[in-house]
Amino acid sequence: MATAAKLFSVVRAGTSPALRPAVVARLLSSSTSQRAPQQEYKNITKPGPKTDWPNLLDDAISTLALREILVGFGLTLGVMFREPATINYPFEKGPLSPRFRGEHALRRYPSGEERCIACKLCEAICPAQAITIEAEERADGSRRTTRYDIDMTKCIYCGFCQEACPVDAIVEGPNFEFSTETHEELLYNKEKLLDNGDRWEPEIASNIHADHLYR
Amino acid sequence: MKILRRFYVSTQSFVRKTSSSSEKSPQQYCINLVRNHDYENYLCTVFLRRKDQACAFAIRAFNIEVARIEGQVSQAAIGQMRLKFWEESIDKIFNDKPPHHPVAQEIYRVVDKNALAKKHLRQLVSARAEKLTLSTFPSIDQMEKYAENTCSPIFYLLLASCGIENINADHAFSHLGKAQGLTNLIRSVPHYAQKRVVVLPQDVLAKYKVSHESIIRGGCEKPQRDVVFEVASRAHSHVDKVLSLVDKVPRSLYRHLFPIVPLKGYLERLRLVDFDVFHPSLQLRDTKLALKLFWRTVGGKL
Repeated sequence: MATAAKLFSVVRAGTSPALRPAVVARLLSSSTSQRAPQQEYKNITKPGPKTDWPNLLDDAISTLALREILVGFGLTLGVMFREPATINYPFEKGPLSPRFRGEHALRRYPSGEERCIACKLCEAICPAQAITIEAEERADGSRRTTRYDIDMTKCIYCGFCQEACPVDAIVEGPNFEFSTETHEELLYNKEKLLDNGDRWEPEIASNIHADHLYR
Repeated sequence: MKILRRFYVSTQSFVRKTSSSSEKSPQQYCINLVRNHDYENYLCTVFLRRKDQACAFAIRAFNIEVARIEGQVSQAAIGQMRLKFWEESIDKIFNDKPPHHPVAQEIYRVVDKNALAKKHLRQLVSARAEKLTLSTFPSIDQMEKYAENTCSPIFYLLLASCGIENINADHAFSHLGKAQGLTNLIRSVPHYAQKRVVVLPQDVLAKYKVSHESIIRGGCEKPQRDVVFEVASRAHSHVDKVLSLVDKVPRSLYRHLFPIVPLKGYLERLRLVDFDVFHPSLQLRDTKLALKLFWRTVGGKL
C-alpha cells in the first residue's frame, strides 16, 4: 500500500525529472526487500512499586509520618523567604526601555528658551495627522509656534515626530500613566506639552543615547 | 612649574570660564554636546589654544548634530528632512539670519563667513545625506571617500579659522581626515552589526569570501580578521603619511594634529587583539588619553 502511495505521488509530480525509470525501480526494490519481522515485545512502562517487605515498610512509615505533606509545607516556607516575582505596581514600577515612546513633551534649552522653531516637520510626517501647528514670527525675528496641539486619541505612538524634529524639541517621554476621564483632557495644547517637558526633562535627557560617536 | 602653569591657563580656564560666566550660553551647549558624544575629540580640542577652541567646539558640535541623524531615524526620508534643515541653516547662517539653534548660533558667531567655509559645512551635510541612501560601501575607495568627506572638512574649517594657508598643512589634514574617518568606520562595525548593517567594503569582503551574515553575527575567524586588517592598514598608511608630514606643517598647527594620538592608540589596540573588531577591550575608553595628550603638549613626539 505504501509503495502504491509513493508511486502515486511520483506520478502526481508529473513533468518533474523525478519521474524516471531508475527512480521507480529503486522505489519498488526498496519495498520488496523486507526486513525480518521483530520477534519479541519490549515493556516500556515504568516498573511498579516493589512489593517486598522492606519496601512495604518504608511506604507505611512515610504515610504515617505525613512525609508528602511536610515536604509541601517545606516548599511553601522556602518560597515565603524568596524575593517576590511581582511588584507593588503604583508604588513600584517595572524597568522601561530608554527608547520607550510614551506621553509627548516639548523640551526647552538649558537657558529656558523653548526648542521648537515651528518648522512643521512633525506635522508633515505624522501618519495619524494628530499634530496641529500655527506659527508666527516674534518681535525679535525668531519663528515660534502660537499653537501646538496634539490629539492624543489620534496619536499612534509611532515616534516619527521625534525622529523628524531637527532640534529635538518634541519627544515621546517615558510617562505612560496619563489616562483621563474625558476625551477633552487628551487634546493636549502647547502649555500642557511644555509643562510635560519641564517635569520629565531629567528622564528625557538621560534617555537620549549619549554615547560615543565613532561612525 | 612654568609649563604646568601654561597648561592650566591654556586648557582649564577656557572651559571653566565659559561654564561659570554663561552657564547656558550656546557655547556651553556646544561644549557639553562634544563632551557627551565625542569624548576623544573633546580632549583633543581642550588642548588647543584658547582662541581656537571656540571655533573648534562649534564645528565639532555641528558635525555631531549631522552625524547623529543617521542613528536617530528609522527611515531615510526622515533623515533627509533633518539634513535639509541643516542645509537651509547653513544658508541662513551665511545670510546673517541664523536659526534659533544654539549650534547654528555659535557657528554664526565664530566661523568666518566666506565661500570656502560654506562649501566645507555643506560637504559635511551632503556626505551624510549620501550615506543615508547607501546601504553599504561598494569599494574601499568609496569608503575612504566617505571618510574624507565627513572628517577632513572639519580640519579644513579649523585651518581656515586659524588664518593659515599652507599647502603642506592642507595635505596633512586631508590624510588625517581620511585616517580618522576610516578608523571611526572600523570602530562602528559592532554598532552597525547590531542594526544588521555592514559598513566594511564589498570588494574586500568578496576578496576574502566573507558573508554579511558572519559579520553581523560578530564572527572573528581568520577571513573576518583579514578584512578588518585590510581596512585598518589603509587607515594606518594615512596615519604614517601624516606623521611623515609633521615636520613640514607650521609649528602653530602642531596641536591641531592631536586627533592622531587616539587614532594611533586605537589602531595599536586593534593590532594587539589580532584585528578582532568585536573584542570587548576595544569598546573601553582609553583612560590615559588625557595624560598622553598632555605629554605631547610639553614636547613629546606625536
